[in-house]
Amino acid sequence: MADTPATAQRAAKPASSQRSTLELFRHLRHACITIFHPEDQNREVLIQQLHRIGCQTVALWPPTPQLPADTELVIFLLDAEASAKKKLPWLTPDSAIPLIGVLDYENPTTLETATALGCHGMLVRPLQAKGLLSTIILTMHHCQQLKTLRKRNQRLEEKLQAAGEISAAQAMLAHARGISATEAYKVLREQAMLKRVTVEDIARALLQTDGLLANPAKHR
Amino acid sequence: MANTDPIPVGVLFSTSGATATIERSQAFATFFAIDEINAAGGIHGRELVPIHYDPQGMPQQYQLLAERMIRENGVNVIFGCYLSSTRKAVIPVVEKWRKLLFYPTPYEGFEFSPHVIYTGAAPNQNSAQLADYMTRHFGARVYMIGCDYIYPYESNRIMSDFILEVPGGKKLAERYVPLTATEKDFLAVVKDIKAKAPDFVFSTVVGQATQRLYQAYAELGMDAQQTPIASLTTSEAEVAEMGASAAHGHMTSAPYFKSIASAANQACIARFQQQYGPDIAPNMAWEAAYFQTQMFAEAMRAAGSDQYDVLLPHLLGREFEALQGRIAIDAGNHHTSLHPRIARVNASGQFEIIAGGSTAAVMPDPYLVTHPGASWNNLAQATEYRVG
Repeated sequence: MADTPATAQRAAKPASSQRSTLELFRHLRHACITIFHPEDQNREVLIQQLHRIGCQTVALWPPTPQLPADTELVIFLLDAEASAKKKLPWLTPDSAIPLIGVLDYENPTTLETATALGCHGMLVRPLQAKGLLSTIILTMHHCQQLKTLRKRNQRLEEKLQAAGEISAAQAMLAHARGISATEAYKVLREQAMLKRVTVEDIARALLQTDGLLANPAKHR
Repeated sequence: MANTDPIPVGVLFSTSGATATIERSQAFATFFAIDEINAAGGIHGRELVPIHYDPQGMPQQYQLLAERMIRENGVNVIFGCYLSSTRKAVIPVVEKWRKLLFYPTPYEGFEFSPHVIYTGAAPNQNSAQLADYMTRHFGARVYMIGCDYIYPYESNRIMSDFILEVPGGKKLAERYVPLTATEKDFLAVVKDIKAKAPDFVFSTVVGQATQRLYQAYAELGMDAQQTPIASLTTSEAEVAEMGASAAHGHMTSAPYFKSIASAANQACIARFQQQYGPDIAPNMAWEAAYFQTQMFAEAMRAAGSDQYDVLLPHLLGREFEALQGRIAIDAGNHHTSLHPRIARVNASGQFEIIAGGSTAAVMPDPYLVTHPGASWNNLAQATEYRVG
């Protein structure tokens, strides 16, 4: 850009990975994209640009309840008929496959519908070549991040629950045997190693037994 | 009654500014083609009249002058642009007015406008071949130096991908200098190159700065025979400016070099120099500017009009016997199938073609995200460094 000549030389961003291209782009090259859109100029523009990028496409209308096998991204016309009424199983906010809605109106009603239905990205008609790659990349990127975060969230919830169970089992064991909490943990861990299960599993088993053993004479 | 009205066509190349030398060669290639077309009877007896403005290398000027050509001079097509930033400035104008831009310059890809015909190399037609050749013959440890704008960033990204697929491939540095960089800027860079001792240097320095890089390289005693600079844009025009001794031993990947031995090429250069003298050096951008104008004329003769909607179908898929070989405009992506070549500058400052130039053209793939290793490694085997 001749209009912004930097006065000082600058070093490029340090390459954080061996690969300089986003994995997303590499993947996109042969991605299978399902298009639910009536046959018209918009669909033609969309398919042509996707082919230029190198994607595989399947174009269908009306939308089918089942996605074609190997679908990695869905671009669908979001109109009342296609979405709300028909209850398409794949059209859900829980979708692991990125969904891009094609809209005619950028008004609050339409946008609210689109977000509520679970669109990860949106395109506005008339469709054009420009901007499609950006929308796809951003949609896939955010959908992937969402997936990663959901998984991580689930793992953390499980961990949290396990931690609670372990400390309860520890307290119970310490009380029953008259040992310290640290020693109780050691016992749990040894048992887990012996039985080749996790400490959480031993703790859970112990707590369940506790329910059976509990008698009115027990403290607390 | 036959229509004998002249047909105005836009010519939008800078004859001043940082890229004046290369763009002047594009402008004169366009004038040359127009002269030949008119001498052969024009378009069914109608004369082509070039409307040329000098946008001085400034994107805003390109935009303004493109608009002026269309509104005031009534052009339906514009031949123009070198820097990507200037092309980006003109595209909204041709899209708005439903006109057509012919862009005769190698660029970084990742673009499609229905209102542009791209006749220079896409990355799969120059970068892939260069990466393959350099890593085979010199090694895969590369030092990257470029001007500070979009074409070098994207070209370096693409080159990095190629390099990193090769065993031992490594990017030693990636540095950027302004388009207005001086020899002093480059002395510092070349010192660093010397210290890091790469297998080769990949340069995306363009325009006036090019000669300063090569001169600094020679001045600090870098041996081009052993560690050449490899480029996609250093052409006969830049070599003429820097001189044979600074250019000797360096490499360029492009679909066209002046030294192509064919009778058609040599005859065309002779005609050109007879008309315009020896000051403008034929080069890759010159050739693309020449053949795209010829192709436009053929398409317009067939279409009977230069209006976008009428003309475009006659351009898409059209083949042409260009100086580099038989080429064709791809109907799907508006880019052109071309004949990649790699050449090295000899002691007298001429590019000697050392690879490529096969009769089979390479299809344009402007959205190339990456090459799977095999496909571009095999590519060179097909043309195993055939001279010619």
